[in-house]
Amino acid sequence: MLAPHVEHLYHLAYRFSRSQHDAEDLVQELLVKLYSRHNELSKVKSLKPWLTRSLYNLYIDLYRRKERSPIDHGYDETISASACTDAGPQQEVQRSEMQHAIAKQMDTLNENQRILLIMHDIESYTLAEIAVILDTPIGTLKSRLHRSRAKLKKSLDDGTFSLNSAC
Amino acid sequence: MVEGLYFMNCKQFHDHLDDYVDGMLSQEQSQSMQQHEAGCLDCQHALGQQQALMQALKSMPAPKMRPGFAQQAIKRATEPQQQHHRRGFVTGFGSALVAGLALWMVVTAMLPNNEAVMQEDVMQVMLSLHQESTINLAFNAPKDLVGAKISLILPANVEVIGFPGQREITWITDLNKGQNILPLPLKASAAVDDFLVASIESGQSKKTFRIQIEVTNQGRTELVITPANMV
Repeated sequence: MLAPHVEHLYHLAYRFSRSQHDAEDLVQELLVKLYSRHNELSKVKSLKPWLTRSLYNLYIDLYRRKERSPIDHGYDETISASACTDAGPQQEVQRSEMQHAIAKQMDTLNENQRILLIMHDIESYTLAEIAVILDTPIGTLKSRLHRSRAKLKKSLDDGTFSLNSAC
Repeated sequence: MVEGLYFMNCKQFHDHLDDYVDGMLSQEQSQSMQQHEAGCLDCQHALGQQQALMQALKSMPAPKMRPGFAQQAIKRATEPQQQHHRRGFVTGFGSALVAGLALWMVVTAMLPNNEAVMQEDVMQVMLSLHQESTINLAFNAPKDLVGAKISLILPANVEVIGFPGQREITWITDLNKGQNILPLPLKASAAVDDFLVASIESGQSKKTFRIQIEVTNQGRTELVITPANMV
């Protein structure tokens, strides 16, 4: 029942934790918890948002006990595989640099803002879905999303990066 | 929410920009946005930036899941008698990570004139008194390490920027295989002739460095790294 969802959960866990190790640990921990509740799972109508909420709750539970790492891991070029299919080599470099800058600046957002950007703007959850997952009114999410994007744009503008260099 | 086609000003355009790129506006509102954009270079630029940001976010890369991880994770989850050991986040490191662990630390300085000098195990860096100077602690890990503990003990009159008044600072963090950089912005407020003690610990393995900090009255701070002590 859970197997088809593991890859999506892993990607989301990676976005949350910024670490492949922590992503594996999060997913493993979640699966351990959920398999002991398989009767409850079988009654869940829409499993994906339910699992996402469970993963988020687990992440928050663990995150609150962990100081944010001071290590600057930089940008892992080995995972920069996503590409604009119609972009040339120069645009690819610009896109990669811009994503590097975005990844760094996302760390300057507060946790609520960062999680919302991950779920809405990166993982394409709708606000209605996120409202259920985070148990937060849509109006609050819209305001938060607006502030998050504005802060991200401002921090990118304050640097040397041009947003127009994206693909 | 305003219904029907109308002439927007720039403030209204910006107010609706998020909803516009998210496709949340009515047809009439979208047309009003397009009409305004067509005649306003500033708002054209703002829209272009917003769209570029959204596109870059949509295509943010993520690593592929390790082959076999899904099967392994499900197998472990369905074996309740097995001890599940979380490797990170809170406490406890995989015992396999501890055996034969070799960690070392080097220090380089981010100085405009690149004054860092490395002589065998001793490094000296000349910095300016009362000025923020960043040194990079470069932790070279032989393999990915989860939950490594990095500790600093600072001498009096030296502080890490962002940690005012703290003489002892500890972080739990993951280290990637290879070089991991800990930028350390330091500031000395008075003459100092003492040691900054930096240590890294993973499982039962710990390595400690004593970094001699000398602050001269001539407005220069001298950092000396002495050979490491293996604890």
